[in-house]
Amino acid sequence: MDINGKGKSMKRKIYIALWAVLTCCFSSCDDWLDVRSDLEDKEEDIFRSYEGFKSALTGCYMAMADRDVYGERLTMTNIESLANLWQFGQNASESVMADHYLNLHDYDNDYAKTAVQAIYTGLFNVVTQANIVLKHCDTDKDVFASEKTREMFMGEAYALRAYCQMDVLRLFGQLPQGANRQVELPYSYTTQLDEVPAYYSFTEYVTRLEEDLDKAAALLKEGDPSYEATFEQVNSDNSLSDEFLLDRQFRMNYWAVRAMQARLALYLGKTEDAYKLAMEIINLEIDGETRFPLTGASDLSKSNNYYACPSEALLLLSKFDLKNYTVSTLVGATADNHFYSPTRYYILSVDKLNDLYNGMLTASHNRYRSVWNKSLRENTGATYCAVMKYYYEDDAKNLMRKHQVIPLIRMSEIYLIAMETTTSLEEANRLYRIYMRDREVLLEADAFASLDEVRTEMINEYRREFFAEGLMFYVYKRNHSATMMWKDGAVQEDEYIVKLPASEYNPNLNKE
Amino acid sequence: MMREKTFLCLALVSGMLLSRPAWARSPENSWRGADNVVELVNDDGQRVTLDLRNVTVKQLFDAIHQQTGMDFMYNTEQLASVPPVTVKATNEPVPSVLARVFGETDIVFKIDGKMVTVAKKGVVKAGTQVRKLRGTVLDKDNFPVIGAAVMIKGTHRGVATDVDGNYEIEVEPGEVLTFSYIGMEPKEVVYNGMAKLTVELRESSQTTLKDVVVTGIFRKAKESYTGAVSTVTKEQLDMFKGQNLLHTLKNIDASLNFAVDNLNGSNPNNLPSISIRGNASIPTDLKEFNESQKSMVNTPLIIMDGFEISLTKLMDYNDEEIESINILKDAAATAIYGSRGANGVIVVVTKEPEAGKLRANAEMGLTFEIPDLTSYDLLNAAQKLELENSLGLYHDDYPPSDTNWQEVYNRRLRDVLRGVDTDWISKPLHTGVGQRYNLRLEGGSEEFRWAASATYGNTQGAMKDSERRNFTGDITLMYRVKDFIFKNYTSIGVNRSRESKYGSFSDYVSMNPYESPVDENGDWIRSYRHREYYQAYAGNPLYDASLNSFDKSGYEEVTNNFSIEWKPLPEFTVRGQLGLTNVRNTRDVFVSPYNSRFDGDEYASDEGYFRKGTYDYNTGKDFSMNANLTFSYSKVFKDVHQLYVGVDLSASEGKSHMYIFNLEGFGTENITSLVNAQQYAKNSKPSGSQSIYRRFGLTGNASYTYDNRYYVDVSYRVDGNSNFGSNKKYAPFYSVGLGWNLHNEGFLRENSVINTLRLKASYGETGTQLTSSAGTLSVYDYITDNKYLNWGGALLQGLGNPDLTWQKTDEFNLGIEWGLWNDRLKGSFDVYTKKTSNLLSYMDLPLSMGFSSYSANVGAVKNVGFEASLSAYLIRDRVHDLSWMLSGQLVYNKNEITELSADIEAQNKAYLEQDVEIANLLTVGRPQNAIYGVRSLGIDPSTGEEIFLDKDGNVTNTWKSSDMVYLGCKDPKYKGILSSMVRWKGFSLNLSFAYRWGGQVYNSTLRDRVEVRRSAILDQNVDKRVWSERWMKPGDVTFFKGFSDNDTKSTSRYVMDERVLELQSVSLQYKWDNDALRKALPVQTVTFGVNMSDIFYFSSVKLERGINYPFARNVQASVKFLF
Repeated sequence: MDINGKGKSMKRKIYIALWAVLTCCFSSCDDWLDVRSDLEDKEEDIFRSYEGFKSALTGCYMAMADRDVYGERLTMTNIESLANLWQFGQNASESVMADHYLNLHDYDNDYAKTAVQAIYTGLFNVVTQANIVLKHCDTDKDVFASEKTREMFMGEAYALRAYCQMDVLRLFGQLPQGANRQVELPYSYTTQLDEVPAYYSFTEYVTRLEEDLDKAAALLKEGDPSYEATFEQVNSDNSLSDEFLLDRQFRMNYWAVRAMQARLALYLGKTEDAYKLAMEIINLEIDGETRFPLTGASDLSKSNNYYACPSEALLLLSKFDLKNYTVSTLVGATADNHFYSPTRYYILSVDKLNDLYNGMLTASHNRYRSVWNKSLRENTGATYCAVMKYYYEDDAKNLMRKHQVIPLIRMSEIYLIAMETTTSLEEANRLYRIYMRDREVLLEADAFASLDEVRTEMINEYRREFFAEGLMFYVYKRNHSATMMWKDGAVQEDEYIVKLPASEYNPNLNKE
Repeated sequence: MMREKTFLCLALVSGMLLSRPAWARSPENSWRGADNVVELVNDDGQRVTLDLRNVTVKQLFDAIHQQTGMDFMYNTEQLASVPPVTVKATNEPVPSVLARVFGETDIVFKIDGKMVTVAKKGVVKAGTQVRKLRGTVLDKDNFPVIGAAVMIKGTHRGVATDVDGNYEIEVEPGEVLTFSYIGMEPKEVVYNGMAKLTVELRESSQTTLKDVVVTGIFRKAKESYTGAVSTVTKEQLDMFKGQNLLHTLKNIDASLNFAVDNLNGSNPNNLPSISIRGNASIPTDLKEFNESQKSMVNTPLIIMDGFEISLTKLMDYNDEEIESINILKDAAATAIYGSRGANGVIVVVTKEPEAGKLRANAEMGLTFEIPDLTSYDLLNAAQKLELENSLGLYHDDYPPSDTNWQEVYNRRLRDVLRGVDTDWISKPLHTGVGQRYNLRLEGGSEEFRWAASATYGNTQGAMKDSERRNFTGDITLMYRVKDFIFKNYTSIGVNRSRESKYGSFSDYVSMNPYESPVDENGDWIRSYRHREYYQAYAGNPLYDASLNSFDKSGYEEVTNNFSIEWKPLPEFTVRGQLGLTNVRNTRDVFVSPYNSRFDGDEYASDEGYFRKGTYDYNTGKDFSMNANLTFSYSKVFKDVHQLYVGVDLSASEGKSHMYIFNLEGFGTENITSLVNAQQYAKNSKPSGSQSIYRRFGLTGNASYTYDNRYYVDVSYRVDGNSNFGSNKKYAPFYSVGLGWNLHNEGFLRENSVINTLRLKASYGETGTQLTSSAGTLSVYDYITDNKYLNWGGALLQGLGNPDLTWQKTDEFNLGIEWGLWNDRLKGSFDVYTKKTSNLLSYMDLPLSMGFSSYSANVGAVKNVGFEASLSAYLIRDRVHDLSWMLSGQLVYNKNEITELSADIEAQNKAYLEQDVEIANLLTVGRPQNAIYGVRSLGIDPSTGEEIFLDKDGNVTNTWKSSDMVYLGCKDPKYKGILSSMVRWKGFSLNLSFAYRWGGQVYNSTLRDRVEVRRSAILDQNVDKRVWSERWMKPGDVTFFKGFSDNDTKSTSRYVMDERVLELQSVSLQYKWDNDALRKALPVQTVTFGVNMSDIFYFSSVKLERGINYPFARNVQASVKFLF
């Protein structure tokens, strides 16, 4: 009995000890199982520091500057082929096959599909990353030293999301006006796997886009150091100890958002809004001087050779290895012993360049003189022209901020928006004179006799000024142009609506 | 065919056993009769001279013992009643003396050499209840116990067992029988009227290993275990010794499936890929599947004394330190390992120190690796040149070229006539002679015991300069105080291995025999131009091998395992364990700047000069820590209810990193230090990997046995793992097993044939854990090769799947075990189905999510099979100390993919559309290791071209990858082992054959070595069959197509049924164990052994074996001393 009793109390003690150990283990297990690697950062870890926020936001811009998106396809190559600015013909070489089918707007072709899929994925990749930054600006507020900085981060994230999805709308959406075919598109707020973007009709989509741009503008008005100071002033402001607040033209800033609003308004046909926004930017003054002057003449001067006219840009992408790939696609460089084949390189024939500058005083027009290299030779002896925008000498000065850049919004576009939307012929002529003076073409008389003339010329001017900057397809599309320069035959409505990748699926369509 | 043979063989064995059951026969010349007082089994002819008066029987026996050394075994109690005796004898044979003295008593003797067993005749008691009981007493190895006392408790009645361990006694129901023998634990059985009673006596020291199953966490009695387990004993490890421990296991157990590695042959540094019961995992990526030579996803979990170890460690482990290896196969056995158990578990138990005076075991041995080139059949120089010439390869339509080609031909012909006939394939080979030394010391008291061992093994591969050297040293200390046992094990393992600088063996196979490695002056020829005026150079592999290049790697491992066991109550045990392991790995690969690979134009410039010579340096560290706490409770209630409950808590953490540096630019090969490198290799930067995991497990196991007849076994485990998705941090696993010991049922208890018959069934769910947390989390990578202005960025790598979870395996097992005629014929049969679901794979995402895919659990694989084993003692003659056992194993497995992700299906499609061949494809309804190709109708005798069937069955003569269909499975359906063990006195001879059939093989030799493109024939040597068996002219009906400039594509023509029989192990041992030895030398025993592995290989497919490294026959000679 005695032994048994002892045994029982012993057992009880053991059971209690066992229970204690078990409870203890389970309660602390969750944390213990949460491990951190030194090679990469988990989403929940990276946003625990300001440094991590900066890296994640910078990551968005890097993703945006990827060659699949604005690093190449949506600025220099594929998008311009959609507008038929580049044409390769049947015997295009393998590397530019996609462009050939994009010329034809044959969206069912495998080459074209692959290119479109890369663009689509790239755009939404930026959006998802921006969404995650945005989410953590809410959940990890305490990481930021000031509310102002947090507003800047949020404003930029909204603007990034809007910029990319505006182009989703312009590429894959229906015609902005007079659409016969309706297209629903996904607007993404995705931050994790179970949040599949919903599809929206054109109007709903635009509402969401405008909402994001409004939020971005409101936040950046507070948070953007360049709201009330020029980019140069911000960069030389010694009071800004955080260098992440500098170089605002390379990041989503308040004025870039205003310009995006103007761009969207014009695309939607809201000419009045577009006009107001454009003129607000054009007329903006700081310390009695024009805040955003046209500076092409000085950028293109022999001493600078900033071919992409970065000084007048409201928004630029930085791409340090730009030349690594532009020399083998757009060529750009001075003619050497190399033979350039038009079936392989993104180059123009002399005739086409002349078409582009038809009616212009090419002898003085600085774009014609500086931005084009007109002496490339093919092995047949024919001469070709290459756009120099993304070319620079390796030892050029201001390499990082003036040469290794891809402009996304320039003042020239704002002037074109203003001229296209103004209701005053006189103002159009005045703005055009300023605009042409920057091209070193001095106009004695008014160039336009009517506003219709203005609007026609604007289309030519977009093509001329923004060649290889990816704007022309949208211009044709918003005007529902029946023709495109250099393209045979009429352009059908369907050709303006790039087909969504096959993997996409709109749940709304299956609803009864 | 093979299948029939096997069955025939087994039938023969059982037939022999049935027709002449020699072991069941009781001795015909009973020694129990009055005139048969003494039975002579083995008379040494000992004589005695005695003069004793009125002495006790014991005194008489002592006197005889003094003169003859004969030992008398008797029961004192039995002889107490015998009156004193008087004896007078002069040089009289002992049997005669005994017969004279005891003729009138009821005492009988059995003399077997120096052993005299004394027993009393059974005394028949009056009464009608008395029954005659027959039976056998066996030891744990099922050998008969001779002279064991069988007594009726409380009486003086009793008998001793005979040479076959048999006894016969008259007993009344209700009486208690006691069975006893020196050094064994006595056993009592209540007589309930049975006619036959076989008793097994155990050694009196603690329960021995054979009766328990060591699962690595709990120790379970074998009588009530429902899992499928096979046990490998230390004796078997000795008998079937191979190149390394893994090789040894392969020779013993067919249920361990070793993938045939035709590329790496007998490379001592090659880690084989192993699986148990089929492949449960499939690769996530087809590209990876096609590129990597082997997959390690199915490697079983390996546990040594409670702690996980790597496959490499097991391979390098000192087999002399191993007590036993248990292979846990089904879910009932592995569910206690939860998320790590689905691939099966190999549990290694090391030897414990034995108490007593200092014992020393020393072993030394030599190992030989003898290259086996029987599968190569190449042309010699004259034949090769003639072949080339007859194909018109030295002829060109353009006359000036023709002249040049003729010059080349004449030059080569001159060389051949001069006697150049280089046997390239023998150049990089030799018979590798290695050594092995092992020393183990142990001793101490019951309270404090210790053991220390050191071993050094050096395996020299069949390719020159390839070697693997291992040193292991360990110390085990055990301290017992009151209810506590403390144990600490420390081990250090050092490995140094080196890959042959001769490079890949295939380079030598390719070399043309008319080329000489050296020129007239004896200087190396650096490279050859097979085709004149053509920019194709081939380096001379022998020249490159003469340089100071090296490829060596190694590791140092330090392990310390500590445990405390506390037994506060007899039925209750608590054990705590802590294990720490630290491993450092390095690999150094240096390629001399003079290597012929740097002869190209790329290295001709100044920049190129500074890039000659490369050094790849890898360094890594793995650290792991495991702790666990085990509680176990076992008790028998009311004699028939046995209960066992075990609970185990474990936690572990592992950290590892690996850094890789690729450097280049060495001015000389004399200074090969890393620091002499000029720079990082072009386009490379430091790389590597880093990982950390944490794991937590709670395991419970309970089993209940009723009356040793019915039992049920239940296991449950919860695993927490840092690699699981955040929504699935904890994974539950379980198993349930039922068993029935039919031999303990009343109706079989009296059966004279069946002594063991057990049925068991189990079902359970186990898992395969994720190898990393990748895929479960949204992770950012800091980008180092990109910048945005002067800011660095981090990019999101993908959307994590928080639901990502372990792969789940559901396994059902049904088994039967039997033992007949005192286990002389034993066997088991298990049938299983194993379904693995939740396989890790990539799933497509809508691209508007920003990523194209994510990791998910899709896909399922099913394995169905059986495992059968049968072993029989053909001879078990204790008298002549001779035994011969034959045993066979047959394993069948069928693997089938039952579900795949859309992503893999799309990859399949993409592969089929490309112009790729022998791609590894994954298809639902087909096995994982399948062969795909276009169906072939053979060679058209009129054209010498191959004719195909497209996927719709139409005849065509164009090969299209999209016409590829399933043609066979690379895994054999059936495989097994047949082994024979003969023991006679100190000698033992063991043979092990392996066989397999039911699988297909793609005969790449025919393609690469016979159907060579016409123009490529100049670049390489070819198989003899090119010479004799290819199509030459219309009308030839041949297997091989005509000479053409088109590559041979993968078709069914080369898919062949493979049937293999190999003699994988032969060993001969002699144990020298007698007094003469002990008198002559200060040793107890000496054991000599010769083991030979991979002796013969017969296959229905003639295939070149050992592409990058040839196969070798391994011979080991060793001598062991026990001091």
